[in-house]
Amino acid sequence: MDTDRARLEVAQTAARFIVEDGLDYAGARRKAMQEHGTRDAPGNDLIEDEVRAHLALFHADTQPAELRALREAALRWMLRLAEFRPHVGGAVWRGTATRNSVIALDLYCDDIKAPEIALLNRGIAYETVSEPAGRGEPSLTLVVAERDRELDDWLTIHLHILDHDDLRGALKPDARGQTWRGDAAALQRLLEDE
Amino acid sequence: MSGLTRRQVGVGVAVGVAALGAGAGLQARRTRQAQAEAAAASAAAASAAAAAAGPLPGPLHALDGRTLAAADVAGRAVVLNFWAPWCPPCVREMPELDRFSKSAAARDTLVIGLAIDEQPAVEKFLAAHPVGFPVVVLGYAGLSWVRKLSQDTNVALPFSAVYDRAGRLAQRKFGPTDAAELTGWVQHA
Repeated sequence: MDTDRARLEVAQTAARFIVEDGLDYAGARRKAMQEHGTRDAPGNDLIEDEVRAHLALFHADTQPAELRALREAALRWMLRLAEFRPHVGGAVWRGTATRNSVIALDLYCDDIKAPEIALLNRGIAYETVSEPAGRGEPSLTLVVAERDRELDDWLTIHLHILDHDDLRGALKPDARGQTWRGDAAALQRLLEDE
Repeated sequence: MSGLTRRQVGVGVAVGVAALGAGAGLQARRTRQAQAEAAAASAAAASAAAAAAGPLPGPLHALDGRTLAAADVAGRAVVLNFWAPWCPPCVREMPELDRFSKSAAARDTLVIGLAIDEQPAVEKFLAAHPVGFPVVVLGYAGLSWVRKLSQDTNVALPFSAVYDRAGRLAQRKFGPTDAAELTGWVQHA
């Protein structure tokens, strides 16, 4: 079997793990490669194509409304945390989110303690997840849960705490010219363009 | 897309404002430098538009059935308060706005609540916490208006803007206000 074909099949399996089980891209790719017994790793762009195909096939009736609800929830959190110049990324920004997806927000701040203080001051409960990044400094993520009235379901919001200087490279587009994240104004435009 | 239709019907005005903001916003994503330039450009456009238009860019349809038009604001001070039921500081500020709108100090002042949410959520909130001043549902598209008035790309709620009796923008504030502050503002407006 040729490499492209193997990569496509791994990507299709990974897409199923991402949509149905809520795995992240790296975890889904690893598990799918194990399942297929191959070392041919598909790239994120190929997996994302397969995620879109999987959503169109199996969730076309529910996904657009769920994506919209998550985008509105993301926008509300971005307004609440406006002082940290929030940007939304992940499936909510790229348009592949379902009700199981995490809302991933990047917060840019001079003082990494400031977002925690802001949450405490507003009486918002959160958990802290700190993990060593691939290279460089360890990353800090604050996790918040929120009941969504539209979906009647729990949403998970990840607040990635980043240094103010990281904003510089944050809006670089991918190989196809799409961006990985956007600010509140950009998210609002997505909501209006739907 | 019944939600979108509802928004477009309810907010003919805000859609126009949104279109105005979108052109500048598109460039704003590139770099911080471009962001600053675009903000300055949209600020210039916004202040030109604001000077020409006064507090209302066009007629607004309030939830109580009233239509707010140029005649309603002529010769009066106007407080535009952008809020949302999901925004705790906004919700805490509502009784203050209500108190102010019913006070003697607000005799020739029109308070307008502009809700950044969808109509059912706004109606549900107001049924539980009624206010005496008119409330208009803008939906999330109303954020473009906040950006235009604040001349800031990165906005928050609540946001209040006060217009003087000549229709000039006199005060702007992000964050909660109260009856005393509003009284001070309109006395000088």
